Amino acid sequence: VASRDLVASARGGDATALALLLEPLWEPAYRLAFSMLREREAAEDAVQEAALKALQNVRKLRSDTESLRPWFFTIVANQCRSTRRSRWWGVLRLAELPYSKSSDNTLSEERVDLANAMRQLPVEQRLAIALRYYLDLPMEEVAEVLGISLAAAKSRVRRALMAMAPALNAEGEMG
Amino acid sequence: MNEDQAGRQVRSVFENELEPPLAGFDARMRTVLERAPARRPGLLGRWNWQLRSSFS
Repeated sequence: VASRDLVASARGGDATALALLLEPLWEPAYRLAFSMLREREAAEDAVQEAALKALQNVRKLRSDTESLRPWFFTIVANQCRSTRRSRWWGVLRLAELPYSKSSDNTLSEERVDLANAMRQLPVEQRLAIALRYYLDLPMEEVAEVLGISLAAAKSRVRRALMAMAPALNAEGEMG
Repeated sequence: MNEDQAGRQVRSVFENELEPPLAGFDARMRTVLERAPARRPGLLGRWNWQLRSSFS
């Protein structure tokens, strides 16, 4: 929970106060960015850009803000969307190959199927399941970060799970 | 399969894919914020580009 004094200082343009408020969010923000971009340098850059955008927009925060997490994750997600739309992103991604059961020995055979199913999800569905299951956000906060209603967020997560169902089921049967 | 089981499997794939950030990432982000010329948005883009260049 953010201290009201720190939020007030940050809203007044105090970058050190904002840095203190964001300190616990750097690591999960990076994980969020990596889940969308799957490239270390791009994920680091996305969080850095998001931090600067947060600084530019911190005055818009409500004075009674209790957690910066949904606000900052929204900025990070938007930055990742922007990165993925960039001219070079498509060129870089062309070189990406699916997981191979024979060559990737860090994943079990069943997890390879699931990893490939996750890679084939539309990016907004992948973002939804990353927020829900990787970052453990409550569904209300998932909806807030995605900028959609709670019902729409639940539906998006459900559609992602249905799309991955064959891979999930196969793994579940393995116990 | 229930949602908790599915969620655990999804999480394990995300964790397996993750490449950690370079050492000092948190400190670098803090520095980015504290040194940013936030009150002068016109300068921010150029400053950020210079900063990223210096890290690479």
